[in-house]
Amino acid sequence: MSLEQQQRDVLQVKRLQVQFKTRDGIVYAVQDLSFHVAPGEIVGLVGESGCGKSTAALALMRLVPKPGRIVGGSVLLNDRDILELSESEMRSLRGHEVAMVFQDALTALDPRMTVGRQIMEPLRIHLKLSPKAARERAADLLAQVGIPSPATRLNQYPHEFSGGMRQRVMIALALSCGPSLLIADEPTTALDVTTQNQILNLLVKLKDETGAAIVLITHDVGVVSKVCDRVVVMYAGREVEIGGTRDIFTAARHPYSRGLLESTLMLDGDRERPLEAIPGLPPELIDLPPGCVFYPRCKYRSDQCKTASPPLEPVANVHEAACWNWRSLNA
Amino acid sequence: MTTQPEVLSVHNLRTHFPGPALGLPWQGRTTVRAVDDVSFSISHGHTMGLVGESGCGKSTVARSILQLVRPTSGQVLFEGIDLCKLKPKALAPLRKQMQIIFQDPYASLDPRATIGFTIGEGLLIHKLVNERDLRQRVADLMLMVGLNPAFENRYPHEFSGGQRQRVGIARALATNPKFIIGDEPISALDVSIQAQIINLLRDLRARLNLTMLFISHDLRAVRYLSDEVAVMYLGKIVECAPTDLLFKQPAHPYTQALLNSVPKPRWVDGRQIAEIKGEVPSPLNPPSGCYFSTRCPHVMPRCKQEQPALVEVQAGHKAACFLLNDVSHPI
Amino acid sequence: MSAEIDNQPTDSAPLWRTSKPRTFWSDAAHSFSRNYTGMLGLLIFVLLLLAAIFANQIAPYDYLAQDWNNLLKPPNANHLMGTDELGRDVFSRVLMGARTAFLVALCISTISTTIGLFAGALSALLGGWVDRVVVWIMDALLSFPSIWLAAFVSVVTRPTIDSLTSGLYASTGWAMFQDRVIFSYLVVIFAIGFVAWPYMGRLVRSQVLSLREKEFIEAARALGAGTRWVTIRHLIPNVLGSVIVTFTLSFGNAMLYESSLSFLGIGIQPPGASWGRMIFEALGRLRAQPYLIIMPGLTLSLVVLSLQFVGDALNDALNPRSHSR
Ligand SMILES: Nc1ncnc2c1ncn2[C@@H]1O[C@H](COP(=O)(O)OP(=O)(O)OP(=O)(O)O)[C@@H](O)[C@H]1O
Ligand SMILES: Nc1ncnc2c1ncn2[C@@H]1O[C@H](COP(=O)(O)OP(=O)(O)O)[C@@H](O)[C@H]1O
Ligand code: SF4
Ligand code: SF4
Ligand SMILES: [Mg+2]
Ligand SMILES: [Mg+2]
Repeated sequence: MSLEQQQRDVLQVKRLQVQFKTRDGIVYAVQDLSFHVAPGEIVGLVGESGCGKSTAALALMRLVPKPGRIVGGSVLLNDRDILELSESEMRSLRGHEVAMVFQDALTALDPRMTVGRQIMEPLRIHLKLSPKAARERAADLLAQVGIPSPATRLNQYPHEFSGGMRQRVMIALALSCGPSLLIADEPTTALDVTTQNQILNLLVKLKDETGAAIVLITHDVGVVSKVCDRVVVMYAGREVEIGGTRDIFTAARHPYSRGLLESTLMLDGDRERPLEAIPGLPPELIDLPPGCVFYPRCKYRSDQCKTASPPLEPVANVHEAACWNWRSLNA
Repeated sequence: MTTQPEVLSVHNLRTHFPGPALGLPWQGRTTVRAVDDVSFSISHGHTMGLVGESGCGKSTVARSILQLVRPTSGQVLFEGIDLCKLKPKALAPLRKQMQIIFQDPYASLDPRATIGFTIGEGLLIHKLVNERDLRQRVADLMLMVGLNPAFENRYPHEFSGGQRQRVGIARALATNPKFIIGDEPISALDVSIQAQIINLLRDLRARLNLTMLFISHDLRAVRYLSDEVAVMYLGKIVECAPTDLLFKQPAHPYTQALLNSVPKPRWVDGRQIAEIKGEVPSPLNPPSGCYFSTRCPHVMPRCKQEQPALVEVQAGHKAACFLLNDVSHPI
Repeated sequence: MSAEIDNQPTDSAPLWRTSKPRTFWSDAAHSFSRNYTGMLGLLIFVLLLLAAIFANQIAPYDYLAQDWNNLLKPPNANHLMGTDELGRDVFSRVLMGARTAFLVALCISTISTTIGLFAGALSALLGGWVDRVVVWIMDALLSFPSIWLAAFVSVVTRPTIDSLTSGLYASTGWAMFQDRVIFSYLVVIFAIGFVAWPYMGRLVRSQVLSLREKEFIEAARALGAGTRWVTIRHLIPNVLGSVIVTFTLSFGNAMLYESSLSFLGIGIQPPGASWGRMIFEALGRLRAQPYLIIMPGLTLSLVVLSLQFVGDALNDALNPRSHSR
């Protein structure tokens, strides 16, 4: 990565570590997560439930809930390390420079406030717009996310919107102050396929229009292949592979990424053959074994994997994997 | 297409529920037509897939077949016997021949029953085995679904979602049923676990010669498990065809929309198909004419007035759309 | 012959069982027996209960006997808990008071639990107008402060029961109808049972309602289970935990109620022994002879506390999630 490129990135995450101190022990929710996102780029964080995706997303906003704590690493947002900022500086950043879209729009929106007021609030606080200007801008935003008759819709309450419409409102709200980074945590998981398709297309369109960088969190490999430029594959709190979406899909070099792709249901491919399922379950994040976290389920494992944790190393151009035996997974 | 006898055939099944009350008490209540004139049949050893977006009536079809809700009208013939006409007493002995696997691996297991009891419950209810054989049979079932029989005394909360789903499958298989309904049995599971369960179901189906109704909102899952697929929209079947045919030559615009909405890799160069607009209308207030007319890209004036009937477009392939009556009209 | 064995949650579990098949009930009993606070609570409760039952045998003096040479003596070797202003032995009175308290509380909580259980379960299972009527009654009863309501019922029914018993005495001549003390018990039991059942009723109704919607009930029905099977195998085990906790709490509450009513002078009538009455009568001597209040008060707290321990332990025992392995 050249210096020039580094300076252009909206977000640079370096060796981020998040832990939860619980009664049963320390939960290593995120361990050494590193990636960067350029403007107009969508980077996917993909992995199965409990692997730390949401925790990582919340850490990027410095919103990790108690008893969680960011214990290491740095998060550079437009070259400023947000982990060094004061809480009030952080507040003025949230919703302004970096915004978030959640899976469940109904609980994320305030049920007792009109949609219009909810969108206008950040405009008035961060951009100091007049009420009239804020209202106009809010109507524009609703139109931009594809909500018909936005002026009347502004006066309605969240429950008067359908699931897909609510998710559009969430996106409008997130985009209201023109953030340079948008974090979307499973924005389409609760939606039907046809609606999911609409929302994904909308995200791509908005990204092209505004040039915002997007971190998209999902467990659906299909969604990643449709919209992401690059992917981070997470397993048990670790980043096991990172690279261009197409490279990962066609030439994954980590056994877990490969297993995940092979066990994914497809519209094409041989439907008579059994799926390549990964045996077993992901480990508890409390007492992880030494060595590679994927060891108990890995079919490429060797003795070395049992004792030493593999570092992330380059396997091709802008493509890294954390596996001792990546060479035996032929491309 | 087959000479096998039909295990299940459903004729003009309708299940309506009382909806929310209209404004004033004397105005009565609305009606939710959850299932509205559904017919299909499944022959011995075959699997029918049922797809559709959430709320379209898939689970209600399942519950109506098993008489867990009593249908409003229509026939459910199980090996020639109309289940709708049977009193609960007469139905009870038939239940051991038809079973269901539920969607939610948490809510579908009694938190206060050991999984050994849960799996053996059907055998106890129908008094099919004595005490000693019960344990042996439960152990066999557990092995069959890939659970360690030593776990018989454990409670559901000690298991992962995938393992709980295995318990649900073992429970359904305990009484040696001929016919099994899977109501979204993999929807609540993670990708890698979905693959495990799909493989298990395929394996069991072949081994035990089961007839199945497999319900899912995910076309990809249905493709791996069904011989034939029926597509539902707002309580009606809009298309029904052998699996390969349906995926290669979808005839109904809704089926096409569903297929197009499945996220596909960006680099796979396919025709850029316009996404369909809008969302599923409320079943409380379905559109007049063709239910899909509010979203259909091919909508014609006639579609707003009349309801298209399910007609055969070619041998074994039925669809309900006016475009298809006119053979010269390609889609 | 088998699919690949998924050996979670513990990889080391033997592939073949070594233990016997267990049931929910045997696991619950095992869990309770290993809960030390619960067992301690049970021990204290049983000891106090035995003391109440054998009060006549244990009590060193007649609880009504007045000893004019020993008025207001603080606790000493002859009188473990001292004597009151009439020279009666406080220890004997506390023991007899225990008898009253246990008898009344047992009756009350049995009455209120039974009514509440049936009303709540029927209301939830039958629905329709039955449900509406039961809910209406429960709401109406719960909308009054319960102690006032109990006091009201107690005051209102006393003359009726009084005249009833005297009438019965007049017509039958049976001695038992002469005993006003027993009938003051009856009034209290009736009054408190009447106000206490809606708590249980509401709890049971809401639990059954939410359980009925659960998929596992539907799963049992799909297996061919009838209403009786579902009730015995699924509803009861799932409701029992909270019912028992409420029962133990209501037992303690009933004792408190009885004491409060007696304290207000509308409960157990003199010369019957009641902790509440004892406290009430000694109130004026709070400074000079605090033991007159402390002794019955402490015993009451001990019973209530021990029941709370038992209730908590039972609740844990009836919930497999809280079993430790
Ligand atoms: N017991 C009921 N009372 C009233 N309405 C009901 C009832 N059960 C289902 N419905 C309604 O019937 C319609 C179909 O419901 P159903 O549960 O069959 O859908 P589904 O396709 O299984 O959806 P999902 O994927 O969300 O489970 C919905 O509009 C639902 O609200
Ligand atoms: N509040 C919390 N307390 C303790 N552990 C937590 C908490 N929130 C998350 N975790 C743990 O952190 C890990 C990652 O969780 P999460 O980021 O929510 O996963 P995902 O979004 O991928 O489903 C999990 O093991 C989870 O159990
Ligand atoms: S390091 Fe070893 S165990 Fe880990 S993924 Fe690579 S081959 Fe498998
Ligand atoms: S009948 Fe008309 S509206 Fe309905 S699917 Fe066919 S073309 Fe579309
Ligand atoms: Mg999450
Ligand atoms: Mg459903």
